[in-house]
Amino acid sequence: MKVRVKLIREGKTVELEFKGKVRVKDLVHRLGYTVEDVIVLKNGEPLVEDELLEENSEYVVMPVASGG
Amino acid sequence: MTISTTLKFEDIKFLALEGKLMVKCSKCSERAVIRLRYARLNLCRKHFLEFIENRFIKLSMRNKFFKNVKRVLVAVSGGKDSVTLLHLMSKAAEYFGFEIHGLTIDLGIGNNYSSKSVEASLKNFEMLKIPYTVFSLKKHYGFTIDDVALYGREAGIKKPVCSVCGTIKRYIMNKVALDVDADAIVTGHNLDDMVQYVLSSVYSGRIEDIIRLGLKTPTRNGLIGRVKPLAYFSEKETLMYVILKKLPFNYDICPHYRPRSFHEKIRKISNELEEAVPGSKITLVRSFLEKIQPALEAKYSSSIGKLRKCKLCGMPSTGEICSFCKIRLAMEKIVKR
Repeated sequence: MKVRVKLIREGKTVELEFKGKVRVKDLVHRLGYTVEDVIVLKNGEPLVEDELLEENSEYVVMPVASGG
Repeated sequence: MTISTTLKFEDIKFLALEGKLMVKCSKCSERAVIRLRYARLNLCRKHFLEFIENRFIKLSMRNKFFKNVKRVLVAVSGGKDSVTLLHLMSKAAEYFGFEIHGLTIDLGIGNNYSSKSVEASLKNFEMLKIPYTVFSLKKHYGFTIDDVALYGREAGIKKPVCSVCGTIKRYIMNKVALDVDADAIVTGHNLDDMVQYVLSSVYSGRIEDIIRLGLKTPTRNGLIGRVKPLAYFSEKETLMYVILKKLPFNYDICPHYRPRSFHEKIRKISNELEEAVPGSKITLVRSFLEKIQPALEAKYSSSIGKLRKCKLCGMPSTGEICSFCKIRLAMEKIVKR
């Protein structure tokens, strides 16, 4: 399954491929984050870490750390 | 079409909405937008905002944050934490019956960082009809944080720019608090900041840092007491609060910020621990602040330098000249007004 992921801090969009059913937390871990580190949004709505990703959708990943 | 079917699946209630499985709010039949692992709750927008606002009032009562307080200065940088703080303080002011005054400091940081920060702060003050002060470092003292970054070394300032910026902000907060007759200053330090402070102070063993860590410091000798009411709220919660309330805030990172690898690692490891053991960040900070810190404060507080008046500006200081005036004098030599 392919999804598009917009990484807000990096200012780029990447395409990721997964096998089988994938949850938001799997996406977060694939990017090297924990579920505490980021908020994942779809169409501007935040998603709970246990929700399933949908094929060919775009997800936005917002790191919560503001660096200061 | 909404079908209110709930399924037990890995302990989570799902809701079938238009043929898709969504995680359901623990308090109603709406779709959840956040999982608060420490509270074992999945919450929808409405119940998340309600939960945060109620928790803020409860923690304020439990920790007696605003006991005998008549006017509070709320320091707002325009970032997610202080914007959340301002909105929660506005509710607390109504609940406890005190006044609030907003402060935002224009630090003169480039890449539009300061202009965005001030703009976001003003929008929130005006939205909530809160009286405020915009304090420009350049207008009052003739230099900016960018000047400190560029010429600080040449001026003989040895501390890193973030540390100098911290000293300047604390000084201005105290000065404005005295000007507007506030009896407490609140800042937006969050749970993740507190975890970093606790662990780094333990590693360094600097007792004076540990003593300063308290959530509430009393007013003494012209130094207005400070409160950190967001100390038990994670930065995920504050970011979620501003996103869900659609509040204006500055998401940019300060151009002077340089990640310190040790601090970054603490943040990463504490979040890994939090994911494995939900609630571990709160437990660490709470145990430290309620048990360890008071014991150390009782034993060592008398050895901490007594406050006197800075001979240049009259503000509280541990030395003859306060650390702000030392910076100001050094910068005046380099940057012409």
